[in-house]
Amino acid sequence: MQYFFQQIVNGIGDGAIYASLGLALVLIYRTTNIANFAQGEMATFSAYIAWQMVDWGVPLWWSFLIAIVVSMIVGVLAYLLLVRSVQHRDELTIVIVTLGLFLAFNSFNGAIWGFLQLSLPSPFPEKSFAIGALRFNAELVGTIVILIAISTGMFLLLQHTRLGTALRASASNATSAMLVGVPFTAMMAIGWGLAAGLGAVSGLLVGPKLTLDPNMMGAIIIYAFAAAVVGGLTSYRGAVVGGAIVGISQALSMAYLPWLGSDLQILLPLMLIVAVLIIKPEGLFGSTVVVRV
Amino acid sequence: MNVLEIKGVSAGYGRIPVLHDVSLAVGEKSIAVLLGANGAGKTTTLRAVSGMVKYTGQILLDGKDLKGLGPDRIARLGIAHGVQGRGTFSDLTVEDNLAVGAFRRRDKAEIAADIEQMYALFPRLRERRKQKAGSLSGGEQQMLAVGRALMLKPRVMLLDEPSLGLAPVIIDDLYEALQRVNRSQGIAMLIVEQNANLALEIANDAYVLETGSMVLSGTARDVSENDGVRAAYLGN
Amino acid sequence: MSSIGIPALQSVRHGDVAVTKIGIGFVLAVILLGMPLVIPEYQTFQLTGVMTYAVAALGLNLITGYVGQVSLGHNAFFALGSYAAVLSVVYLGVNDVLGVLIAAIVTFIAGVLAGYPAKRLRGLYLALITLILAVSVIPLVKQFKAYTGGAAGLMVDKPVPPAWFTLGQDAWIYYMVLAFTVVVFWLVRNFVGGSNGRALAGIREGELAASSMGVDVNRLKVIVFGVGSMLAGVGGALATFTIGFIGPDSFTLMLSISFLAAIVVGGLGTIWGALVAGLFLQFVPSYASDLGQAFSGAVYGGILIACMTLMPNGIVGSLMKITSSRREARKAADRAAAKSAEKAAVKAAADRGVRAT
Repeated sequence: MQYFFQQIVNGIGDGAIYASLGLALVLIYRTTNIANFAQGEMATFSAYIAWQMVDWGVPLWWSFLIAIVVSMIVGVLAYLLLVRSVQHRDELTIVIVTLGLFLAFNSFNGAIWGFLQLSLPSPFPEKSFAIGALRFNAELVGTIVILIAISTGMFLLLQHTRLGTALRASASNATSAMLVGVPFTAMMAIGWGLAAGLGAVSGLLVGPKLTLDPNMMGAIIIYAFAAAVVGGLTSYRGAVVGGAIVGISQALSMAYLPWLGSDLQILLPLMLIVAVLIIKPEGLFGSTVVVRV
Repeated sequence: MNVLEIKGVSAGYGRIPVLHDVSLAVGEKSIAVLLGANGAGKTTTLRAVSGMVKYTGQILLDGKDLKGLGPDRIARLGIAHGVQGRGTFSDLTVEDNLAVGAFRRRDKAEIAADIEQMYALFPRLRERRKQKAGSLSGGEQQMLAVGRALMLKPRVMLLDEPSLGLAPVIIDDLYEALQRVNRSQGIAMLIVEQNANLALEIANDAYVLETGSMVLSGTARDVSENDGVRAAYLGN
Repeated sequence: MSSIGIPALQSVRHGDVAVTKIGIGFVLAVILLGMPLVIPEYQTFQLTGVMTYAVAALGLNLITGYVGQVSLGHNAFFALGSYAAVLSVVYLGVNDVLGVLIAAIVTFIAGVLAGYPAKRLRGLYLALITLILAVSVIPLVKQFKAYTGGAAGLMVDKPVPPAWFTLGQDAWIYYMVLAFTVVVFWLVRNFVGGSNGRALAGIREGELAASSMGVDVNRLKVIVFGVGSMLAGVGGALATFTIGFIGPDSFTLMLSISFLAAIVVGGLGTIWGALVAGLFLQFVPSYASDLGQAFSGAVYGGILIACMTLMPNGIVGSLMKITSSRREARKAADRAAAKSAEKAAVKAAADRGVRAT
């Protein structure tokens, strides 16, 4: 039983990472109605920026902060220079363009920092402690604390600030938002910037955990999508719960279904998501999908 | 002194012309009503004012040329546009809808006071303040749209068919509220209506569009006594 | 009376077009059949590769270009077809052609099963489900290592020409693939022509429009997904027999993205765009990877973005637009000419009439 709960604890740790990237996906989807397939590669870029800062001798936490700020700027630029021009085209075009962005970031990262694995130091001490029979290490606790912090921050920003209300208004009805004076392009760009910042956090959490290479987020973006889809891509709460579901089911399948082999265990959470999509396409938390014309 | 002036405006969609050389003016603190049949170009006139349609000619707000400005800039300069079909933010609460209406303003305390005032004006909205706008009835959404436009503290308010699809009792309430706001706050209004009776009652000036051209203009009283107008828009 | 001469004039032109078409077809056939006789073996092998990719790209173009569904799982069906063909040759002892046909059947069924959710899910969700398909390939191949050879892959026996065929193995495979390619392109051309084509366009433009045309939208979407996947399977099987090797590294998500890039470049919703896509897939990756590992991604990414923003109709689509506007212009000129001819005829007749009286 203790083993079981330990797996759940570990699963939540991984899930928090999926959730943070999932939140970025939801944020972009809600503000610009785009599923950003490049979000993971942008997060990898963030991790590389942090590595570069550390390499140049900048203190770790400052490096992380700089990485987040740079990522947000890049997110804004990605919107302004590229996404804006295709935003009102059909879904196919948008998906293809974000795939193009995925490849562009992936190869940019590889071209600058190479394909060898680099290591990004962890911001958390290598300590662990026990509550009863369960062990928690600092990384796990830190990850969860950060997830709680960014979700709370996002909630406060979106629900209780003038900017947040304007962002939501732009996403809800672009024309009406402009008619009350909300600058549409700026809102969309800010949405992309914020999402890039959230994605950066996930990249900075993953970087020290795995090793840093251009394809670091390859699997994680898929799990993040899976997490976001639990909430129909529109619910922040859904993305967090979805992250936990994916992380826990992954940990449990590794612990209890060893005969599946590590390869199929990877697929299990994804099968879960396919089931969710087929049975309830609007997600478990998503509001009914409003088709924007 | 006119708040809003439209001078010789022609506009259209793509190659299809809609407006030909339209001119009108809305005086300080006054209400102007724009009448016309379906497709006469009333909505296009409003869209030109708020920067959603390209046009030739001149549109002036307090003497300042609006040409080339985007809808959000024009809104921030003080033109509130309540579009037809309401256009509320359906997944925001009633209160957030009102709050975002005040986006151009920075006076926090006064914004809160104004929201209270909107609730006083439209008590139904107070009851539903925490509800999503999408769940409101048509009449409530119309009130919300008007309330949100007022939150902008505009110089001019453009309203496109505010009575469309509303029950007569509610229409009366709405027009009473509009008149009250106009008198107490001095907000000028340009109201587009197909059913002209009520609009003419509260308006100072009236204009009639036919197939994109201004065919009649004058005081609301003069226009409402015009035989053609009586036959076409007043049902007698 | 006045229009007697004009239809005759037009029919001459129609006859011309038909004759030109037959002529072009004949020349094309000679070139395609004669190719292995004149070019080196390695180039024959490369051209075979172009055709195998073109067949699979045509499948994705059906799904994405004609119906507007985004599939990222084309690599999965390409892989499934390859393994189905290879395994049925190895374990069932069938010949290569039969192996390809078995691959077609297997991937069609798999495509219909995968396309079943597609009938409810548009755009994004389908992209996600197919994304999951795409990343499942390698784990599955590794899982069934006993049959697939796992990550190391398997050597595959290439088709062996009969004794009377003296042009060599690559030429033999070339003709085999050519036969499949011609049949597939011909079938798809007939499939998307006429009423089916209109129904497909209806789906792409908006499902409401299609259903109001009396199209069973869901059924057609599932069928198209099945057929498109089947073509991926056929292309994969042919490619594997051409190369003589099968391994999971050839079937990554990157392959799907490359297919997508290729049909975008070739032209979404055009038959011949798939052929351009085949050329693209055969030649661009090897040149791009010569430039360095990072570069191939940059090339694909740049191409996807540039095409979608600057040339949404792709190469073939853009060419078609140019020629069709030329054709329109020519038709307009014809019409004008006909009109003035008519006027002249009327005038002449009138003159005659005047003179007669």
